[in-house]
Amino acid sequence: MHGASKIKISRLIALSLLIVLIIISPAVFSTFRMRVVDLASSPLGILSKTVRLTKRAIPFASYREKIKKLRDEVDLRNAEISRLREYYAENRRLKELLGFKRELPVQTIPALVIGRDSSNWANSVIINKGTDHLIRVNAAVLTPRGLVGKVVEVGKASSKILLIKDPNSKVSVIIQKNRQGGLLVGRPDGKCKMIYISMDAEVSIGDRVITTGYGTIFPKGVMIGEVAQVGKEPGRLYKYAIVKPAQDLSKIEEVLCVK
Amino acid sequence: MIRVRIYLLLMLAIFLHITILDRFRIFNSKPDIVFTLVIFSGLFLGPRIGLEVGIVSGFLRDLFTVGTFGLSAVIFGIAGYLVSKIGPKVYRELKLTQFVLVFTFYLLAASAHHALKFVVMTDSSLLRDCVPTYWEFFTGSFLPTSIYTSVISLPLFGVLMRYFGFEEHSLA
Repeated sequence: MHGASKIKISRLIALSLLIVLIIISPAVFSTFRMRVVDLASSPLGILSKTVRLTKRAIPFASYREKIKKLRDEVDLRNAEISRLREYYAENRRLKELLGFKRELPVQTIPALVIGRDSSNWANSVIINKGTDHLIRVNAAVLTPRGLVGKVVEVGKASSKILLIKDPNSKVSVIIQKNRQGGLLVGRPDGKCKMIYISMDAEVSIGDRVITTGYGTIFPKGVMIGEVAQVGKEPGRLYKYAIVKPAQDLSKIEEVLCVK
Repeated sequence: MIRVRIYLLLMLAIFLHITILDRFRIFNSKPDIVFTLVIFSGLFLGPRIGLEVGIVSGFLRDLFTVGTFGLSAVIFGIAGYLVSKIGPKVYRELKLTQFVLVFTFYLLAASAHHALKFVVMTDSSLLRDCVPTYWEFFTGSFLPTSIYTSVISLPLFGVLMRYFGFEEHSLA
């Protein structure tokens, strides 16, 4: 009886110490965590490759590959069209304003997605590049279709990307058509929500949403997605818009990290 | 021997969870087979193993996600321990009992994780507008995942019971 209560007390103390450690020293655990993810990145890469090879063995795989290639080409063209629309709109404004500097294209590092979030309570992926490949924390991550997220933790050979649909993600965005600004935040159901839209702004379903380029993280003019729903936030003085990401974030396999 | 088996299963579950299981998402949720293992350990293998498996699985899970490291370890450990206390008082070999326990404990664990995250969060109060409400988390993530996990746990429990050599009459 005495021994059992001693064990209970020691377990309670161990649990309390753990809780205190969690609260006061996140940085220590972050380094340790990324070291372990680095070690697991090779087997994860092999597993991901196996899954991709298995997909190819399915009948009509070659047609699926062709369709996928054609779709990717279409997406590249759409992304180019979106960029050109941006340049056209920008050109028009610049003709009226003097001394404005055009944004230069960004340099990127390609990476493969080797793992997904291990919980249902966050939205992140693991890629197979790290500091050894010049990946840095807070680097924007894109695909030809649009923005994916940003790097939040970096190891030597792997990194974790926080997706834009995670509730902790915040991206400064505008509606391409009328330049109405807002803040894009993730939602627990996997969608994105643009908030702080002015009440008198005209927002329609299908409007394209792009990054503003404010801050040092996300480049300007990167496609986010299209407005799927518009509403007024109850008890607030702004509208919101549910944005469907251009890139299906549950199916990304290759990404580009901004240098 | 039981510990070796359960930890091997845990490693397999984590790898499946972060690689293949993502392709089986429904309503943005994938079944949490790691949590199912924790509940199974607590229910059928006793409080000590339930607590251990909970803490280890929580740590493993926190390694491959973003956010506060160690929170899942604490929550899963407590879940594994608490379910072991309930185990002897219910008909744990009944599918309905297993479903209800996995469903309830997952909801409680998710809610506890959500609450604790706010305790350790350092976001400025100016950005509180950006944080979804608990109800949005509940309907968007916790509830669909609880249901999905509970449904998957039914055949999974059967497989695990056979793997560990449990027969119905031995649990009476």
